[in-house]
Amino acid sequence: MTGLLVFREYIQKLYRNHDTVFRLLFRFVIGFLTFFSINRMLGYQTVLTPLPVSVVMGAFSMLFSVEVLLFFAAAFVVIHIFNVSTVLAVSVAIILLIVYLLYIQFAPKYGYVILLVTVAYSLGLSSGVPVLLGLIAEPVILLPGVIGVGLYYFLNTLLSVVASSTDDTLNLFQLLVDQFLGDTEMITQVVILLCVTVLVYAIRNLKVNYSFESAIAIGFVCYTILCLLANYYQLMRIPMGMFLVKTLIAFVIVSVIQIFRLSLNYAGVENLQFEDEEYYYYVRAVPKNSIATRDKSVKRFNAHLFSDRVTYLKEDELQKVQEAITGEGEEKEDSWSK
Amino acid sequence: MVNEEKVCKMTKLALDESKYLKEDIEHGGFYRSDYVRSHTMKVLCSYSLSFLLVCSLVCLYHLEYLFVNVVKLNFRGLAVVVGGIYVGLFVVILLASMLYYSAKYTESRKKLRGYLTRLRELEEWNGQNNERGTT
Repeated sequence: MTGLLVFREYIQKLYRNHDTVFRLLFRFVIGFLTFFSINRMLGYQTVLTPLPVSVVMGAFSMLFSVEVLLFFAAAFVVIHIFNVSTVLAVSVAIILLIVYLLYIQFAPKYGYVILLVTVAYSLGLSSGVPVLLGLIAEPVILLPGVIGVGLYYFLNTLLSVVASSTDDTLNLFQLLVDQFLGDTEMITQVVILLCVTVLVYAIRNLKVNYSFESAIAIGFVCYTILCLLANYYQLMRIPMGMFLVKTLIAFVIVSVIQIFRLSLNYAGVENLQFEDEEYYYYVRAVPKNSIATRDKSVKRFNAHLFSDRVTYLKEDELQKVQEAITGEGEEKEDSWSK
Repeated sequence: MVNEEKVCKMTKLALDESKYLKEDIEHGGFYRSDYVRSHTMKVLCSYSLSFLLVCSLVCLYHLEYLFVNVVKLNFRGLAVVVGGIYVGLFVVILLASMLYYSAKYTESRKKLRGYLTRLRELEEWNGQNNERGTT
């Protein structure tokens, strides 16, 4: 834990000194992951699938806002589908346009949430999503979260429809809509997302010690139980081993994010009471965990002389040790001879 | 010589301006009615376009049925139903967006008032210091 806190301090210091670079890097990672996931999931247009394309698109997303990134991502999806079915490509473009018109243009700052939720689900880290959303955000974030989950399952349905059919007719669109609206797994996931996010949000707002840590643990346990129940009632199909491993990975990721975001020292809690003209205040102040990093750097002038001296010293010491050994040997020999 | 107090005040103001008040300062340039009207118009345009797109998707979904029953369809009844839904939602969205943007404008004015008070304080403080300097 101490090592992690020292590392956190180091990273925070680094971030303070180079915040612009870190922001650009964050944008690049988000952009790269988005396009990489789209290519991995769909991958019908072979021109777009090579890794350098995702890297170039990630670099592009460093320069533009999240709205432009979402536009490029939508364009990628449509181009991929256009390679398979024109009707589906047009209908998907219309659906994405509706999502943009009704939500994203009014709350562009939540565009990243939609992207991250979709990417996390495609990487199998779905258990971390509701916990993280409940931990760092307000309930208003539920809507972009649900849109992200819907988008992921929509693309999944699209894949199965394309895989099961060979013709390019209007039936494909009907099949897509029927399968998407009748997807019990998506509805279950949305319900689980809502329940767990609200639960985590409620627990982390409790005025008790270790509320954040408890919220993470309870959130993951609840998510796992709900998924297992859904699996038992055949609302979802979960490969059990993989699910548990990925839940564990998500738990580690969320815990590390929480340590980097906010780490509190509950041993130093202070309960204060004071008053002014209008109110009487009960204040509970919890100090943040912080560790002073070593900020000392030794600058050596004429370092080569030092290194020479060190070698000389080493040689001297070696000679002394040898002399001591030989001296002792001689003494011992003397004592034996005596 | 750098005046620490002045630098602190100016830094706080600049932080407020860049972090929290960027949007509010933009809103501050509008009258309430103009602000609410322009945003409500934007919402209604988006809603209308989305409604049209949803209708087109529904038509696409039922295209086969529409082609087969094009003669038997009661277009007037259909238009009344679709129009009724459109107008009903239009009214709801209109009221909701007017209320929302009106509340947002009030909140933004409140924040701006605090910001302007601090600006005035800085100005007065500057004035006092200049007077001291001249005397």
